[in-house]
Amino acid sequence: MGYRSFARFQGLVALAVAAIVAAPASAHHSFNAYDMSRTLSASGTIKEFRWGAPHSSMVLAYVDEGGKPAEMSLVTGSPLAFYKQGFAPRDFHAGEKVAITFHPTANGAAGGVLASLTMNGKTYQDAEAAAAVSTPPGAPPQK
Amino acid sequence: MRTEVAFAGGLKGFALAGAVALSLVAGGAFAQPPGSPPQGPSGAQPPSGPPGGPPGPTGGNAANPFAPPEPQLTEAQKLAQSLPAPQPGGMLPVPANDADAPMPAADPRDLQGTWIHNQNLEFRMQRDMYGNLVPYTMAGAKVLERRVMSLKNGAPFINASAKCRPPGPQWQRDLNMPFQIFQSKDWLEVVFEEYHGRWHILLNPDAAPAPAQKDYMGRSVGHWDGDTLVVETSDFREATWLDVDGTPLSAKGKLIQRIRKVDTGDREPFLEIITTIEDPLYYTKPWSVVRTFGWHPAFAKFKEYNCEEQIGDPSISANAGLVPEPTD
Amino acid sequence: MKEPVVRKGLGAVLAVALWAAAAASATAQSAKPVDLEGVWKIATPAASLKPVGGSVPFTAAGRKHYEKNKQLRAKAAYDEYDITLSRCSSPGATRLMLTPMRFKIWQRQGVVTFDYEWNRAIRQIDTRGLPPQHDDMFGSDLVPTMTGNSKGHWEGSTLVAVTDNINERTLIDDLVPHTVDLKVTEHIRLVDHETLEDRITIEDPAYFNRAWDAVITYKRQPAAPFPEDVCLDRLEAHQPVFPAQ
Repeated sequence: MGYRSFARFQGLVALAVAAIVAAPASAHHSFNAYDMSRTLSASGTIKEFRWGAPHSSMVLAYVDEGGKPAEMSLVTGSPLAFYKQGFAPRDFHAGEKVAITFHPTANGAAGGVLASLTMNGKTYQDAEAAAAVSTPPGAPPQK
Repeated sequence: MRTEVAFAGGLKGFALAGAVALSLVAGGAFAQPPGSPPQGPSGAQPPSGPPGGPPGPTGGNAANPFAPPEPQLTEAQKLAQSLPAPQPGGMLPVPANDADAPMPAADPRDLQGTWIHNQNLEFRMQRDMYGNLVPYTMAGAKVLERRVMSLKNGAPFINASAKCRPPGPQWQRDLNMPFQIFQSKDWLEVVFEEYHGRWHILLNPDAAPAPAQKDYMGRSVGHWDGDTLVVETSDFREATWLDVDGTPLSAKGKLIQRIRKVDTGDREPFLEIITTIEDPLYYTKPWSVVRTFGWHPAFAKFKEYNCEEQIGDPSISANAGLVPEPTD
Repeated sequence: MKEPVVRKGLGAVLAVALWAAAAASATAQSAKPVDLEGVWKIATPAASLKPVGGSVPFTAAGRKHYEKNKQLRAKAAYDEYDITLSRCSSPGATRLMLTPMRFKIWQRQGVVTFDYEWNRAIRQIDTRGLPPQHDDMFGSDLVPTMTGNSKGHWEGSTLVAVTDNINERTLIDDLVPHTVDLKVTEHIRLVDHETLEDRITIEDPAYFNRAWDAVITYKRQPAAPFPEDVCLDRLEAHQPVFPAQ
């Protein structure tokens, strides 16, 4: 299924389950649906930022190669992950200009996993995405 | 903003956990000597469903002559047991009450206060409170099968929770989020953090007329049996999922909840709720589960739950990523 | 016919009051709160807050955003400025106080809960002066919510509640916007047994060049369980989502 619906599925499973299994610290996001070997870049404005735990998602409004307005959804880290790098959730406004790098979806749908986000001259690096890139599929995650 | 489940290793971890769990189950329920349906000595549960073959040995096996007889599974139960195992549920430890925290009212019929689920969560109720397998009819097992497989196949079915609708009393309670109980002589009101849910229990049915359209939460009427509040819930607007994996209850099903307050004197009182599930369409007989909810006034301030922001988004089709469930 | 809500019992009330006082010993607090519990309904339904001073004292930036909202409303582009109307998202602290439907107030264990008939919404005011008790390993408290974070204390017989960290996707009423720096101060009191008053003070220097007040009055209603209201069903059926009347 397309990324947008997968993100929605994730979010909806989150709503459905809303539980914490016994060892949340050792769990990590599944990156099966993304092509972690590629990193693309884009810039645009924030349409929506949905903060969540352990993951948030963002809708980026941008202009595609054909010059048409488009949107893509990106999965990223928790509020605390951003806060630790100097980004407070309250600073994320609709319409804010951002530049991002991301690992695209495996099935080609717009969006993917956020690798970095630059806003107001500061850059957030998604550590979880970076760890997934450096971990071959099937191997235990490096922490 | 809600806390989502942390999938260990994502979908791969899902399958791995399932395989491990299934192997544990297979070691138990399926280890029957061939051709010898069990006759239970006292203390063992008789097999449910149609009778098996001629009487055989009373139990025991080569390894352990004192082992109780294996239960005989019905075809429906075999189907339910064959499904990929549910994710194991956990529970973050809830901090003990402070030394100066208020305690519940002395009146055993006053259930007011803030309570929170304090056992490991169960994403699929596979056994009743006695450890017996859920007594599925084949219709019930097939509903469970299609729901579990839809999740496994990455095309999960729509359910009330996924659509930010009230999920029915059983699912509503079976989460690790707090709730507050308020009560008058005519009704109790339970306010839940999760889904900003509400559950009204009418002690006096005249206090609220039956609604023109049935409620997602059904209609709940309660009466005191000694110091146990017995609540019958029926008249559901639609079929409900009793848990995350979709243990079924049809719209005509009924829940009977027996609620009592327990104070063991250690400043950790709790509510005990025994829920009996009655639904002849899906279960051959009523069956019960028990849950406890610890008293924790520190949780009286809830986190905000605003699933409408996501579910109501007009730019996403209501069914994106989810599949309408086929009806029976 | 009015059914009184069963009270907690004197012992429990005292225990709560003592506990709350002990927990917040550093802050000045009156010994015993007033009982605001009951069912309430706005006396004069309105979609907008009516400033005591006559008009909302917008800054240029505030006025610009407000006019933009009006244009979007004229085009019925609700999701661009009012996700309550377009999605049933929580109206937020101040706009919930404008609901024409009923709400209940509960005061239990140091937390005042507003329990709304509309969509089973709630907002809560924490009078305990305690830090958040929930596990917060993800920093969820950093995120502005629709109803914000409300801390309250009693001044005489008035509940004074200060709310901040309000998500800027809410509106103050049906049109007036705000930034994430909005601070709402409420003075909530019983005018008499049948009448509840909420004096709301709005402060948001980017959008308003001074603090401004609005006063809302509510009348006590008979106690009754509220019917199950599911806003998303009304949205799907193209019925009014957050009616003004």
